[in-house]
Amino acid sequence: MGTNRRFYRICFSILLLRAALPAAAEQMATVAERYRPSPRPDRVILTWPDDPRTTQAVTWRTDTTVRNAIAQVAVAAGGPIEAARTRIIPATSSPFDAGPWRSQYHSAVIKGLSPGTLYAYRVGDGQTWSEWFHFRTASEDPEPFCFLYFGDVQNSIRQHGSRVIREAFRHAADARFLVFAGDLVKGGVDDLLWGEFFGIGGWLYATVPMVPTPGNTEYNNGVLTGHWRNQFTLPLNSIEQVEETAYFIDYQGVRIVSLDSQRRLRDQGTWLNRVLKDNPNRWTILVFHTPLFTVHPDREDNEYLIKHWKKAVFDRHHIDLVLTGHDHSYGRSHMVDGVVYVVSVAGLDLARAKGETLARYGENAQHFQVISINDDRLTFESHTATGELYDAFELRKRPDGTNELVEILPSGTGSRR
Amino acid sequence: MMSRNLKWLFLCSALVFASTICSVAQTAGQALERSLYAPSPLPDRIVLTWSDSPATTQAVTWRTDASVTRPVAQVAIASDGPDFEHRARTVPATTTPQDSPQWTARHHTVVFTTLAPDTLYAYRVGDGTRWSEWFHFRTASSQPKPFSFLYFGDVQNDILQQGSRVIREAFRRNREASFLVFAGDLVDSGSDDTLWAEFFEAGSWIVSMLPVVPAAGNHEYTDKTLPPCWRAQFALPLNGIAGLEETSYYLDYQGARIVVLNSVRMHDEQAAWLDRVLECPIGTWKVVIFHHPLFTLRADRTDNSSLIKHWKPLFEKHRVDLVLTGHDHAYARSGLIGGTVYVSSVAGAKQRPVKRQAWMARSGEGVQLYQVVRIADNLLSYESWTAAGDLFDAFELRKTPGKQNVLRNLPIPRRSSAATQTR
Repeated sequence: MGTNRRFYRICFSILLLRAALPAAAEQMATVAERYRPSPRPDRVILTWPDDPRTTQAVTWRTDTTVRNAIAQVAVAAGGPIEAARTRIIPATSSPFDAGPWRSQYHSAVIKGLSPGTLYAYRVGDGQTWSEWFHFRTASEDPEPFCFLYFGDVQNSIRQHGSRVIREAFRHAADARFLVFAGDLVKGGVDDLLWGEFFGIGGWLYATVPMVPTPGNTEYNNGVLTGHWRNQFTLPLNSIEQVEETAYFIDYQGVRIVSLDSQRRLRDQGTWLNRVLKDNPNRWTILVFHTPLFTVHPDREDNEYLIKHWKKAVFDRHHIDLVLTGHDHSYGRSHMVDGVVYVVSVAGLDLARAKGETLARYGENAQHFQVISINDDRLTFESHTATGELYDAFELRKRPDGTNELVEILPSGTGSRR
Repeated sequence: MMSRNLKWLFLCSALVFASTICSVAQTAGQALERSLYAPSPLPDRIVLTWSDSPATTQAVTWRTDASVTRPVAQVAIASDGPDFEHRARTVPATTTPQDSPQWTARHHTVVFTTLAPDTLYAYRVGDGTRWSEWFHFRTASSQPKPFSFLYFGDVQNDILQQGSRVIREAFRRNREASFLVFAGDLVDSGSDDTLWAEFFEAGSWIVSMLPVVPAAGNHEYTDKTLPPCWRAQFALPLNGIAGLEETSYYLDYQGARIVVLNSVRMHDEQAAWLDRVLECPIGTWKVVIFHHPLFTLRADRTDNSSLIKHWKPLFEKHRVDLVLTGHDHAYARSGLIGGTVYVSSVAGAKQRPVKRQAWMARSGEGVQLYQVVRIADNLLSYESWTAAGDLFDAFELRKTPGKQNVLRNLPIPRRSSAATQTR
């Protein structure tokens, strides 16, 4: 009977599997399948590991079958792009266990580009290609430009975060890059969430570079998700253990510094001192996730960051703007020891805000920010998801490097509760 | 002890089911090949069009596989935060089965009605559990108000590879554009579903935010027949003549009448209707869109005598301001011909030489182009831009009631040397 029982058990298992198959398959099809890697490049994104005037990195994903990943690049012309007349740049490929599947990330760093020039590129393996995308290199000398800054996207990324990114782009279509102040996704190790995050931008991320900083949700028990360094090709110009999470980029007269507010905080302070001491740029903007001064009624100011970053570093240099997230609401300071501090949010899970000491604050809105730099003026605008102007100010740089803060909106108009 | 027969029966059935599992796995492998474009329960090819007044209605069409049986869309006035979601109303969709040789699909259409003019809305589509993201759209003002639209000639070939950058660059540089006009030959073969897949991927979320106003070209047709996918995927006004539903229609947008004609079929039959449609209040801008140019751009083609005979007299009679076409895979723009400016343009990669002719104010070849048309009060400004963002052609039309338009050609930078001036 023992043999028979085993026989029946096997038969029943097969039958059960058969019964379960359609449901499981459907679930896979609806939720996960759209994010499964294939031989065709997806998650094609631009970042800068080096000088944005002459360098452009492109990173993309495929399944594990792809060999000889390459990028092709040429100066964009008005007519059709002739693949035969393009430069071929071999990519570095890294296999990656993404959880639901194994994938590969490919990174091609295109060097020797001409400043202020529109290029066309595509990525693939010689057989299967992405479409041709455009990117523009930074100008040789400082010229006016604008960029977009987003707080946490994090929750309900596809459903609700998408409209903010897209409306932002519609309002500042000439934005030269996209700053994400951490918590891009709710669970940094969840490949499906990264699928959502890259999916909502789609071709946009393949055309406009991003400047991301990690938040607490990109970390899991003190460990940075493996996705980060595989999918972002960023400058290796900081210190150990915060490679590609702490870095700086100089773009047309602005030094953008990304700090990792999760790790090696004191040591980053020492590094930041050096980065700011030797800084030929007129403007300096810091981006990190956790704010020094909270706008969340249940949270407290981050005394550790205040001590090791603000007092030890920020107060000794000319810093113009500090862009953060984390609190899931909006708050923007007056001038605090020469610096304007901003907390913003792009996604959901909106929280209450406190802001008695702030210039503007508010809750229940998703935001995007347009920051324009023109010579000695920096203009900051925060819009809600519908495009409505919510907060605006201007920084006017004096000859000694300090700023005059000029409010643009009438007092009180932005502080809606 | 079980009977030998029963044991065999069990074994056989288990083996049959095991083989179905293997075949499912195998199909999954093949599905991966086609996974990029096969329909799924999740909405894709989400495209906005108008089937009625752009001030108070908005149509949205999307595609799923056949498993979706209760398609719906939700809409609400967009708010700063996510709370609009709770005020959304749910509208059931009508479904058109769409079977191609590759797969079985369903196209779903919802027309949102009684919307407030000049208002930003958020909408999503799905089946109650599986949703698209929320997209924004803006209704037109119910009064004349300055606006702009983008106009593209044939996209047609190498759509995703080479056509996409033109559509995206156009959107990028014209954030205020209200809709996208396609003057036919959107795809090289209207019955090839994978080409439509490329078209919608090239447009991606742009066409889910900005309505499309498409004209059908000869490549949308297969032997005088319009493949059913046209009507399944574009919900357009049913205000044209019988037999040309949703390929011959008109829309009024903020002081302009946009007329789309079908230049592939029934020219004569559309004339009487066109005569009526072009009768509109003084001061209205009249833009007519169709695929075939009246006057050819090419040495190997001839002027379209049928269109010249049946339609041109009506353009003159009603002082049509602008006629936008494609078809010849090059660029040419006329001066005033009987009061009307005629354009033929190309967005895609297929390019043909121009035969320069006296009627051409500007012409060019070997360039992928998009056009921006801005209408503000009595001024229409027109610009043609290359894929790489160089200005290629520009002019203005000034309207004075009861008189012929005044055309002013605008200077273009030297860099656009490919634009040949034949004036």
